[in-house]
Amino acid sequence: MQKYEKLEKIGEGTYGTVFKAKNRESLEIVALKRVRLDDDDEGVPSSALREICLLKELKHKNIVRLYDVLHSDKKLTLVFEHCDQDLKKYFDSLNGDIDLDVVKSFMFQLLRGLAFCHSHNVLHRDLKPQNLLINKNGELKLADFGLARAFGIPVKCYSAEVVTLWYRPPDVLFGAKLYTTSIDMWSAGCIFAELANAGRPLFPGSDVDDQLRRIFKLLGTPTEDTWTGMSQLPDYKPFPLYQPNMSLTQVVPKLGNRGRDLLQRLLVCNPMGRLSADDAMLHQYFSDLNPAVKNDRC
Amino acid sequence: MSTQSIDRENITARPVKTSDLPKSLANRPALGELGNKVLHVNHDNIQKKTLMGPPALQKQQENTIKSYSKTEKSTTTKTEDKSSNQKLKREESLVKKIVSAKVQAKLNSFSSFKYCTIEDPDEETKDQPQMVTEYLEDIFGYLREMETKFSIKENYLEKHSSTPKMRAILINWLVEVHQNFKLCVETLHLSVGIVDRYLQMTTNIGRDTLQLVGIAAVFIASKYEEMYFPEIGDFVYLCDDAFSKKQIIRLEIHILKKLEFNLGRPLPIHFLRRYSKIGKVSAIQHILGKYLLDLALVEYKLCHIKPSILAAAACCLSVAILNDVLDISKVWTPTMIHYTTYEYLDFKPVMIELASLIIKSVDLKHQAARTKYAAAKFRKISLHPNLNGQLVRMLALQSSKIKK
Repeated sequence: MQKYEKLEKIGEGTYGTVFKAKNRESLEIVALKRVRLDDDDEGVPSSALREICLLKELKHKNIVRLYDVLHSDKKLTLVFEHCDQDLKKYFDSLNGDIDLDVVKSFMFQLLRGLAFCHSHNVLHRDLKPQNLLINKNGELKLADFGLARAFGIPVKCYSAEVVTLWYRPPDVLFGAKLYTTSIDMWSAGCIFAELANAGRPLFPGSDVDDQLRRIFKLLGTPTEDTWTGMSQLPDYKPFPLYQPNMSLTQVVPKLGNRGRDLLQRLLVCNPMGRLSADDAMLHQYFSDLNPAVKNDRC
Repeated sequence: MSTQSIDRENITARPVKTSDLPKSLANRPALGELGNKVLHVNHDNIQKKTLMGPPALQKQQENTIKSYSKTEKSTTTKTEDKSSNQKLKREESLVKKIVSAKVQAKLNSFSSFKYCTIEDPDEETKDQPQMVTEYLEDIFGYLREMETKFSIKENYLEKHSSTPKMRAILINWLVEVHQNFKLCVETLHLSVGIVDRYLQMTTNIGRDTLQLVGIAAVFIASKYEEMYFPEIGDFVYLCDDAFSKKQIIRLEIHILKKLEFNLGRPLPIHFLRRYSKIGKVSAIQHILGKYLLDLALVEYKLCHIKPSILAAAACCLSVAILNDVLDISKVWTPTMIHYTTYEYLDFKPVMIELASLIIKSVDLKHQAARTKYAAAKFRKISLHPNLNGQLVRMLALQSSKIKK
């Protein structure tokens, strides 16, 4: 690893450790993700393999750039563009107060990155604040594609063990293996609410049951009428019929009507009813978005 | 038959314990001694069944692959007026949206009936999330870019001591491996693509390492595509310890580096599924299309053909064969041209090659695809009498004429 000088440990990804480092020649700051390869192991971990393959093709301003992959003796090093912090750390620095224009800008960038993934047949499957990177220019980038995968059409059944609990949609919580781009849209909705509340998670469940209960208490328990096929899902179990007693005004008090409407269209229990990233970007909520953010294409 | 099996291919895919594998396969010696002795289907048997006349050709126009999903029930029935009205509106907007300038030009030339000839294949499934209708155009446009970017060169084997025959033996074996590990069809197509792309990036790979390349390719493809993939030990067992774990792992990283970690080259099956839907082909026609793609994998002459062209040829030919059509160009309707952007003549030569493959397959040494598709699960499609019918023979004849 002569080319880069390691500076500090940043964190742990789905696999392997992430370091901040400096390119000795260009002095550019990068993030290095190291993957150990052992001869008596299973070779390149599938999560690393998928992340590299997918990111090689996903070149977009709102998706973290994979510059290079280095292979030396017993390790693989992924060289990423470096961002100053992730959204989680950004929240921690806020002290409970966030500028609503920042919320709008971040949300739009999240949707734009997501729309790019989805139109290039990739599901992220692990959206959460820790996996969204923020830089000094207020740019947001999707990162950690360790759980991501390319999908075909029609979409087939994939693993139900995806997405961190708090950001996991009700269909996947009920064990659905046939899911599609809507899986990421639920997470985007949860993150939207969290943004608006300056980092307070929307559904911080302790286990699958608690997670579902928290969701249904807010949105009302879905029925076969509102969600055909729900009771056929592999891990379905009936829940008390909660009525949506708390309005979104109480949940995201700082968000205006349009923002609440967008949130409501993302947080739909029935995956078929969830707004797509493309459509969400066209929502009224973004009509007064800073043009600099809106027109800033890849 | 329910069309569900089509999209549920990898649900049951579980790594098979090596001990469950038929010894004939598990105990596979190095490439040089590959044979098909045990898995080989008895030719007499096939002939007999064919002569006895399998079930009459079923006209299955209604039983189409409009929907691959369980949610088909939800398809609403509209009144005639309403639906035709909507269709017209939809078609109008579609004509405006035509992607290919070539198609546009063609449509303009017979604009008087363009409104009644292009059907929207996605109208009925637009409420099915797994059809990802809103991103279809983007995704397939992107896949077409990718197949051009990651093309396979013709005659790439010239730089190797391996021969087309050795490649055929290897790919035939990979079809068996994929079946025995219950891997999905994407994994098979991806494996073969990895083998071809790796070989064209390297030189001097001979008989002794070719099988290792094949194994490493399946190892990589499984990790990329499968929900549950076989362990490396299973692969070592599969090649009868001819290669060690270490060798497979070292080659894995070498292949990935050579391919610059690009595994996103689209697969023929991606396009076939799309085309089957556009053409509203029946379930059995789609199965025949898949069989033709598997046959094509083994054929070195076809490995450089773009997946989208190969799929168009397989789709068109399978419909023609099972519908007993003689004027094949009629199968390729304006709707097909519109959505695939291919004209009949764009893939006709490939289709002729496929027909000649069908005829050749009967006496071929490499029977893995044929055996696979002789199973009831695939409606014994490889034994279908129409595969030996007038149309296929006529096309195959054209192929031999071209060669002369």
